[in-house]
Amino acid sequence: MPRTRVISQSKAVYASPTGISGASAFQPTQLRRVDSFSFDIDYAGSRQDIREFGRLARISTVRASEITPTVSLGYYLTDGENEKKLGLSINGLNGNPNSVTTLTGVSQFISGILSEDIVEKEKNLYVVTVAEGKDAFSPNFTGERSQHTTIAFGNATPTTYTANFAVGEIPRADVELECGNIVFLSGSSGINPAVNRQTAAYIGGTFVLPTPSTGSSSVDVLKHGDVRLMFSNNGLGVGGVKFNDIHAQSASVEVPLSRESIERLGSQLPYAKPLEFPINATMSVNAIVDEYNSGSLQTILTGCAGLVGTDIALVVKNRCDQDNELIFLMKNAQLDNQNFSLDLEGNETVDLTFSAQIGGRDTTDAGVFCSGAFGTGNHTGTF
Amino acid sequence: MFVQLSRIASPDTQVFINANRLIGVYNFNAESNRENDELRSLNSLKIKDKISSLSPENTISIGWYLGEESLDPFFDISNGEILSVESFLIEFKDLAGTHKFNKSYISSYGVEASIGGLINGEASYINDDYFQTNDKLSGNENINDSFHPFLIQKISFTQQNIENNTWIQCSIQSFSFDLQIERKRVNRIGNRKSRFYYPIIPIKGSLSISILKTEMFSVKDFVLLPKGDLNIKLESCLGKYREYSLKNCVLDDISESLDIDGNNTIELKYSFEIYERILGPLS
Repeated sequence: MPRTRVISQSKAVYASPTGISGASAFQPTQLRRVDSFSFDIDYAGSRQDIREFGRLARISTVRASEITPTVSLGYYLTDGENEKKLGLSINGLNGNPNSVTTLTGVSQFISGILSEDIVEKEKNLYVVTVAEGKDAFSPNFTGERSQHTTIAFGNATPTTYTANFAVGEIPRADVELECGNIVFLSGSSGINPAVNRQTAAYIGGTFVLPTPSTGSSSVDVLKHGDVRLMFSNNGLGVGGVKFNDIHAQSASVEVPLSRESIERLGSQLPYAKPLEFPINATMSVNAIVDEYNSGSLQTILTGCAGLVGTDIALVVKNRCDQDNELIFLMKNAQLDNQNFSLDLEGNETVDLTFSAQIGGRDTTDAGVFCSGAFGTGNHTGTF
Repeated sequence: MFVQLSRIASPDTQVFINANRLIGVYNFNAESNRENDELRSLNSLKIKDKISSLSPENTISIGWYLGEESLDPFFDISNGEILSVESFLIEFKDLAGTHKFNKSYISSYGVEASIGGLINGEASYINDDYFQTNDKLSGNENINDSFHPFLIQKISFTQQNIENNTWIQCSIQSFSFDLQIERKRVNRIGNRKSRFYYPIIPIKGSLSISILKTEMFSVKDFVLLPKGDLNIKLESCLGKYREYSLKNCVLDDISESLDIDGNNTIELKYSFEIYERILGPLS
């Protein structure tokens, strides 16, 4: 019986590496706590009309560049599980998270992507839709495959990762990806959607989606009350707020990962899509102002103020406020912007924007680092 | 009833060579250069008059997309070759009338392609016999051209007489070649218009190729073409192709450049001379 509509109840999202050829069908792993998923296919953007003298309408069209579908994926943050499945590093920190000055970077948050590791930099994504009115998380999932439909996205590379923490909201992440191919399938199994960039041919292999579930994480979601924001420097010598005294209302970490398409004459697809450098990660904080630091803007021009950076840690504990579930550390962040505002009825607020430039995968004194409890079972105070 | 035209746009215009309508034309330009002699006399500072002793020389250039159906304005119409003194009638017809360039001689020919675009050809002609007629397009001529362009994704470069085609390994971003055919006007007493324009030999061609550097290319070890023949094959989505054969290309210049956040690119410049036909038939 055809569906009348599709709602989130019927959906589950998975990820896998692109190289899944083998004797048996590969089982992708499920992404959990997903609350939004959208994708866009722009056919017109890659087309070029051919027009000639003597005719108003085009005489032909040709595909002048690749078609790059985009995917937007949003989920609630937990212990770094989804980050790891998307190719991001969640084992990048050492030290005591109770003090930002003792935290040290081991490997960048995007180390696998920086090294162009084929397993980490590119993934396949799968979205299954089960029969109308049924939960996707159903024990009858495998028996009802004939009623499923799946959209498989091949060669998906993240272009932006953003983690958002705000008062009154559940901490969440939003990831934007670009894909090389989309396959629409009946059922919940099929061909590997990934293609070879040199030949534009499928690289082979099949997949079968396992039964989805809520998972076994010790946390359902994180809470804003369990988030601590810490700065290694209370100020940068230019005046403004005392960083460790502000009452943060929201904080977000954004890592842009745009890629350049390198094409060549004679090749159907771009034969390479390397990262575009420099990569400037940003952290934005909105806070209620408490105390001010002394300082002067003039010291930037004549002194050494403004050259000093700060390390910023976002440490999130689990709901019992005991174990550290997820930590983001931005090292050697520079203050880009301070914006103060006050009106008649509100509190004075400040918007702070910091940026840190991400170096090579082994650079440990600048960039963004992450540590998550997923997979390690490490719920102690020290990493 | 006479209806005043408000304008003439590209859909209102067609280009013909020897009565063959060219398909895929995207650009047309005609320029007339008058050489005037000043008449002056003794006892006067003023220029008495300016007269032209010769018929003005006109330059016509045509740009077109290369594809299966596009008529190469020279090679598909010519009975001779670039070294000949064959001339052509070029007509530029629109809603206002027709420009006729009689006895036009090809003076340049080129092809270029780059990532993200189409493969374009450009040819220039020179003549001194121009006139206009009232032969207009009616506006009801239906053009139902179908067009299958040659694709940049299907361009291939091959080097003659070597075992391995190293050009396959190269990430070629763009190429262009052009032939400049310098011609000398031949007049005779009693005629304002030229008898013909003959080509001045040798006819030189130049070829430029831009490559993204992915490895150390060596000219000395003949990894890249230092001297030799290069074939450029253009293919459509239906598998039809045309092939240019550039003989005796000599590498004149290599340059390599890189800037912050850019990609290292290598530019190769070749020169060659024309002794024989360079374009094969559509296959």
